[in-house]
Amino acid sequence: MKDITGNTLRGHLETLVLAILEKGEAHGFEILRRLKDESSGALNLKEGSLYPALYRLEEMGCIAGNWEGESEERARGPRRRIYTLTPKGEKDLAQRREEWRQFTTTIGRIVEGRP
Amino acid sequence: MIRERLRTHIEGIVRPIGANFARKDQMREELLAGLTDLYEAEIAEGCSEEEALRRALDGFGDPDEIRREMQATVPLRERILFCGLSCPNWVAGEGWLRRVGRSVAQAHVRGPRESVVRHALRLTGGVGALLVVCLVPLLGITLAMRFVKHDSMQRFVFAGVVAGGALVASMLACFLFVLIGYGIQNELEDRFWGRRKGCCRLALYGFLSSLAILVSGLVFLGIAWSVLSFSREYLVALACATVAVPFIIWAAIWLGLAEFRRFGEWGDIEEKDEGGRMKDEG
Repeated sequence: MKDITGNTLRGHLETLVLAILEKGEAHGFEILRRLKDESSGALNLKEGSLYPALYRLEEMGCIAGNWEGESEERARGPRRRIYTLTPKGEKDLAQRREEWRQFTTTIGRIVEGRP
Repeated sequence: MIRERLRTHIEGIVRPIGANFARKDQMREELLAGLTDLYEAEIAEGCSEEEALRRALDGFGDPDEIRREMQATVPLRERILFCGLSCPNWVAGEGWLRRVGRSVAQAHVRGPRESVVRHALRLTGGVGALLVVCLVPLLGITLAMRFVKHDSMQRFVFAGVVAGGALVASMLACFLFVLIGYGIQNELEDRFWGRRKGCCRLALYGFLSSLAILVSGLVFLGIAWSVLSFSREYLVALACATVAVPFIIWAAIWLGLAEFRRFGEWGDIEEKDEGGRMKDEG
């Protein structure tokens, strides 16, 4: 399968992040890994492009970020921020799913030449 | 060494972003954690340190694009409020400017065998020279204007020229104060590291703030005195500049020093060689 890169994902990255966080809290690198695993390696995102999306979602109140606790902290090095889905994020994800279904149905009908 | 290079890469992305300190610190730590994770994953896959670093940096993405996207996540009001920080950011990013800053700062620090009196006299001379640098162009403009006939339109232009000139001169003074302050702060902290660190910093802020206000006050007092015979518009512009500029200088010094302190904690964005020297220093 051909790799799907950042440009193709533009506009959908937030929805993907929300969907990943619905399955459980995660930090940036973990979100990236889950995206790669769930797409069987097709989603080839640059890690740096993930953080602006996380900040946008946090600003909107859809996710909440907390620094990892002392127990999980690595012996040396910087702390990670763990993100969880908020109730507002859950509602937002449901709405985005509905919009996605409508989008794929409409566009799919035209692109695939279905009646 | 590798950790230092990861940190340098992140600092290069975050430093130019216009945002408050807390937000930038969060960006620094989180991005560094992500890049470190990426690097460690490459190492776990059996890459050599250099190869893992190369792949991690590649996998992290284009720094310019990340910076642009990160900047876009900062609320507009915060971007406007902290746009002044772009000045020290720019200074810190330019190697030659920092070397000038270091030289200026070192010239203001007491030598190991220098007496206190000699040091004080030398500092006074330095401040005097700074005053001359600020005053000469402004007084030149003022004197030149005395030889020009002025109608109402020209008066506005003159007022604008002098207010603009005053602002540029003040920014120059501010720039030098930030650099000098940075050097003095480092020197003081080197000598009195520990208990007296906080006191030194406080005293330094007080000293620099007073000096900045005193110098800019003197500059504008001198100009006001020499142009008292000019129009009302001119004096209004001058008064506005006189009131505003000391505050601008004070804020720039405070913010500049605070930002520089973070640069110290987060290291340089320039690459260092094995001996820890800046590459551009040869």
